[in-house]
Formats: sequence, structure tokens, C-alpha cells
Amino acid sequence: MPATYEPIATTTLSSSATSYTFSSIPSTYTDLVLVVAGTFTNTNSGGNLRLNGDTGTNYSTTALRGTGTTVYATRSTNRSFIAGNEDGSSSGPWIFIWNINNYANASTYKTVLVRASDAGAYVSETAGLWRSTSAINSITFITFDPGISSGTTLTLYGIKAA
Amino acid sequence: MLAGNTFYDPANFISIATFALTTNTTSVTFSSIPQTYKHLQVRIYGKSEGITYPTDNLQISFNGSSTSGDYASHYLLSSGSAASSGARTTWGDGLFNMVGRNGTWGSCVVDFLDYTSTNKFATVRGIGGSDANGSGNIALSSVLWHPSSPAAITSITLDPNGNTWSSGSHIALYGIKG
Repeated sequence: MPATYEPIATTTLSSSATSYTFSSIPSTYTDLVLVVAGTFTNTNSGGNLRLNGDTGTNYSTTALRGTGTTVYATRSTNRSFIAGNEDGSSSGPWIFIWNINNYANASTYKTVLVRASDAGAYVSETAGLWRSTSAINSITFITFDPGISSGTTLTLYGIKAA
Repeated sequence: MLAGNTFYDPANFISIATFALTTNTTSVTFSSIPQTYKHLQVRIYGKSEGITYPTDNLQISFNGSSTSGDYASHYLLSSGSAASSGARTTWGDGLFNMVGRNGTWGSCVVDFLDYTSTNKFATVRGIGGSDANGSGNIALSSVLWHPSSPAAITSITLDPNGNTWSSGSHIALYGIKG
């Protein structure tokens, strides 16, 4: 019974950035888990994911989000990223946990699950789709308005099934 | 660490068994589950052969039991356009909307906490769903197994709501040490 759940790479941002990319991800695991903990530099920011550098409108989501007063069911289609949260009311601190199961298969579209938590603003869970059959070899965590704060940590884990 | 000895970091997350399906399959059973872990986790990338609806429930049977009155469940769900919650008190409902269906692949992560306990009923929680660029569901769900007396979980049978698992589905069981 082999042990698994290994850290592949980790970083703590030493300065604010609009994105961070894990590249050359080995295909030897079954699932990936990306944990991102930190803050944004602006309250309008959101945490998003792009795969293999694809900037095309090949992503979509179905989401459930609670703000403390209201629960929202939301959907996005034909986007250029998977939105991990749709709430722009807080800069954090927040946590994103992204589960990317069966990421190395080259025959089906990829489904991503993400739980996002900002105790001061919202909690959400999202199913995201990347309409590509390519094996995932790079993951970019990205925000657009305007950045991820210095001190934010990003860790990518690999889980390997027997 | 003792002087002169190398650091020993015991592995905490262990792969126990996996079903990587190469044909459509009615159900999968993890049997003879070791009682040496604190928690279990099942990770699924899969879909059913069901049609029409974008996700299927994950039907769970513990220790071979499908006694309807021994199971209960709750869910919180988004269909993309409406949020809902509900509860069931029968075996067949399982964890709601956990895997893909109707040609759409889905994912879920299911936790079985303190599964060896014989002094409290087993409770399972899962997060799962699928998206198909215009349809899909995302859900948080839980299942309680409450037979006449609490029992340690030694086997887990999983099927997609009475449908068959599609070829290509990947269902993996892990043990987590305490």
C-alpha cells in the first residue's frame, strides 16, 4: 500500500503578482490538489484557474455561494478561466482548495472542484469544466484586478492511487 | 528525532485500492477495508450511463447493507440557476449529485471519518458535481448510516444511483492515519 499525497511544489509570493504558474507538472499522479491561502490587493479581485496556458473561452462553472445573508446559484459559460469565487466584496484573507481529479488523462474533458472560503465575506463551492482532452501539465492561479498579495502561499500536491 | 538517526516522517495518506473501470460496471465494492486508519477518503472521477440529467447521486452501502430505513441524507445543491436543500431517509438516495451523467464527467471527494468507531453511527460527507458549459450541478451532501447498533465500516459499495458506472470511471480509496 504505497503512501501518497506529496507536495509537488510550493511558493510564498515575495511581492504581489497577477498570477502564479506551476509548470512541468509530472503526469505520474492520479489527482492534483492546489491549496492557495492569502489575500488580494483589491476587494474586486477573484481567484481563477487556467490550465495549460489556454486563454481561449473553453471554461465554464456551476457554483453555490453563501454570503451570510444570501445563497446564490450561479453559472458561467464560455469563459477564459475557471472562477473559484464570484464574490468581489473582500480582499481576504481567503483559502482556495482546488481538486483536479484524473488530470493526466488525455481522452476526456477535465472537471475541477474548488472550495473557496473568506470568513469575512463568503463561502463557495464550484464545479468547473475545461473543454480540452489534453493532459494537464501546467496550472495558473490568476486574478485580474489587480493582484495577489505578497505573502500568499500556493502549494500543489499530487495524489497517486495504487 | 534521536541523535544519529535519520528523520522519519510517517506517511499519512495511503492508497488502499482503486477501480479504474475499463467496461461499464454496475457497482464497485471496497471490501476487507483495513481497520488501521483513522479516516477514509474516496476520490472519484466518473460518470454514469444515465441520461437526461447532468449528475447522478452516489449510492453508498456499508457492510453490504441496503436496508432502506438505516440510511439518511442531506444535501445543499446549486443547479446553476437555483439553490436548494433537502433531506431523505432512505438508502437509495445516497450523496446527492456527486458524479457526472448523460455524457458529462464529474468529480467528487468523499470523507468517511472515524470509520472504525463502534460507539457512534457512521457519517459521510461529500463535495461533488459536474459542469457541461451550460448545465451541471454542484453539491455538498452527507449520509448517515444508523443500523440497530453502530458498526465499524469494513466494506463500501458505490454505485451511481442505480445506474452503471461508465468505462473510464476512476474510483480510489485512501486511508488517512490519525
